Amino acid sequence: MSQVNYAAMSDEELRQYFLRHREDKMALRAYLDRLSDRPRHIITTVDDPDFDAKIQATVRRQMQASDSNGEAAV
Amino acid sequence: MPTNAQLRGLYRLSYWLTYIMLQPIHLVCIDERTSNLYVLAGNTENLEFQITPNGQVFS
Repeated sequence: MSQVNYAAMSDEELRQYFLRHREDKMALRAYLDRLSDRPRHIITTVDDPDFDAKIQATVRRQMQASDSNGEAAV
Repeated sequence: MPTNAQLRGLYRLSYWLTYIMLQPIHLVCIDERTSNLYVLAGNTENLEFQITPNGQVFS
């Protein structure tokens, strides 16, 4: 099996790659490692009465960020 | 396996994404190293969430 250089891929490229190569578990791991290196934005917890509103606000923000720069919000 | 809190969070998140926001969900999995549940969704695969074992949701 040929070696895939995950490090050479952008976040977007690596995301596309692991979605289309589900058998390549190392690709997903490499991507999750990148996520874990980013600052963590806590949105809510499951028992929060405002869970739905907070999720909705975050989804809208991520969609807007994606529209404006073609990348997912971080 | 996801925890009870992760399953409850996943249900509520899935409901919002699919029923209200009309967004597809592409991947749901557990990172066995952190035990966090990862969700990748969105028409352009641009919505990401993680749920910790105690039910904290972050992006």
